[in-house]
Amino acid sequence: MRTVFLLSMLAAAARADTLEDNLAEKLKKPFATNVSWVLRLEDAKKLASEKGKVIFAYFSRSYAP
Amino acid sequence: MPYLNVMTHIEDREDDELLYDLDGREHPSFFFLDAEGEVLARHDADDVSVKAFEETGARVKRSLELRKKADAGDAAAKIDLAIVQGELGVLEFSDVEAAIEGATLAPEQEHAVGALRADATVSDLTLVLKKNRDDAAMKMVAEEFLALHGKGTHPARLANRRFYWTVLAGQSIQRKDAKMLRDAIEALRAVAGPEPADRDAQKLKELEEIVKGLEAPK
Repeated sequence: MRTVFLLSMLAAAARADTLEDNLAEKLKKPFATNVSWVLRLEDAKKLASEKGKVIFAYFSRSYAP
Repeated sequence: MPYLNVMTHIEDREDDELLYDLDGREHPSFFFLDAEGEVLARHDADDVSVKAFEETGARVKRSLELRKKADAGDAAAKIDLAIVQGELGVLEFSDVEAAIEGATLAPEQEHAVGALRADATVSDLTLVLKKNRDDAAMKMVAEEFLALHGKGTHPARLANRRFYWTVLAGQSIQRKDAKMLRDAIEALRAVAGPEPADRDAQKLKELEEIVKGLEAPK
């Protein structure tokens, strides 16, 4: 039982690492690097308010192609 | 202000499911938001032409102009704004109804409000089914959807459209109603998008076979 628990913890940690790696790879793609994207909504809202602009929000994903 | 949101499924990551909060589903999805994070317009990600973006820009401008007029007390603008905000998911249908109460609506406004009403109905019935999916509940939902279909008012939101038209497809088959089934297939094809998932493509293929059988001369 303890072995099963430890294996599942290791699998969860491995998956978390994979998800982080996927994000890092996604952020290296040309669409992500060719534009000065703001990556936090709160930062985008603050800047939009300061500059009197609207926010263009591009939603993508990294967990799957 | 360009903002990039990448859905990662990393646990507890900030705004990881923001797209779902905005009633979006597909990747990529494009939205225009104001500085409060409220939706001003959505842009169809299948069309990245300059013309399409100009049209979305016009919708953004319209949203902002309506807000300005509504804030200044323009009653007609308040109604148009409420309808637009209902369509964008910024307002609940009950708030749209409150905003338009007592007003005389133009035909296109009536049609838009009808779609919003249909969305609210489908959303409510979806919640009912989450608690209870027995035969009586399913029958009640089917009857409500048939009533909406009979009025020609259909939900506009993506999640609602899939459920609504799937139920109607089932009803069409039971009733041997080829016309309604064709409508359902067309609507489900639009929901599935230009590159449907295998499961959706298979389902559409099955429905096409059924409707051909219903349409075949007897």
